[in-house]
Amino acid sequence: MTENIGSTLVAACAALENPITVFLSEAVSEDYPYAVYEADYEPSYDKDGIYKIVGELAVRGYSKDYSEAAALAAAIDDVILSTFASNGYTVRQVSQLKKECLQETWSVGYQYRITQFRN
Amino acid sequence: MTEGYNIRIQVNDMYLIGVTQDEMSISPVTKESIVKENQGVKQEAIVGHTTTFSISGLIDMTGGSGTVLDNDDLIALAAATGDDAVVDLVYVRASGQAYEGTGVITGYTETNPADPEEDPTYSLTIECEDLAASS
Repeated sequence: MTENIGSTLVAACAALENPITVFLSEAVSEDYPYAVYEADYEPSYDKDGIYKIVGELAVRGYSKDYSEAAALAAAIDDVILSTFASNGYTVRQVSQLKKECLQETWSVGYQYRITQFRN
Repeated sequence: MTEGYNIRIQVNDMYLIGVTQDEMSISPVTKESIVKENQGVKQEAIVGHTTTFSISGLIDMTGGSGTVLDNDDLIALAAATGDDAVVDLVYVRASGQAYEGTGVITGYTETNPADPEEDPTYSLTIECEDLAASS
C-alpha cells in the first residue's frame, strides 16, 4: 500500500466547480488565492505489510484579502471532510491554525489527522 | 537474516488476519518421583513439552478470504468443544524449518478502545503438546 492522501487532496480540490490550486510545502505561484499543505505520514505494519498510514496535514489558504483566505480555508475544509469521510479513509479536524498576515498576504487554515487504510 | 514478518503461524492451513506479532514459548513438563533408593532426594524428569503460541493482531471488519481466518473464525474456534476444538498448527519460517503439531485455543481476547488513534485488537493463545519439526 502506498500513501495517496496528498494526491487525493490535490485532485479533489482541482475537481471543484471553482478549482483550488493546492501546493505541497511551498507555493510555486503568486497567482492568489491558492492553498499549501504540509504533511507528515506515519505507517503502521502488520505481517502482511502496511495496514494504515496516519497523515498529519496542515492546510492553509493564502490570499491578499483576509475574507478570501478564510473562505478558501472553509472550502478546503468541506472538501477534506467529505473526501476523506469514506472509501478507506477517516478524517478529523484537529485544530485551527494561527491566522497570519505576512507581506500583505493572509493565511488561514486547519490541521487534520487523516488515516488511510489498506483496502 | 530473516525478518520477523516472515515467521508466522498457520492454523488449520490458514493464516490469521491482521497479525502484528507472534510469540512461541516452549516449557518442559516435568514429573517428580521418589523411591527409597533415592535416599530422600526427589527425582525430576522431563516427560514432555508444552508449546504456547501467543498471537496479537488487528480486528478487521472486512472479513477473511479462503486462505485467512478472520476474527469471527477465531471466535468460533475459541468457542468450539470436543474434536472441533483441536486445530492443526504449522509454525513457518521463511526458507527455514517448519514445525507442526495439534493444539487447542486456550484464550481469545478482543480489545476495543474509545481512542480513535488506537486500533481494535485481538490476542490469542494456543497450547500444543506435540510440536515437532515437519518432515
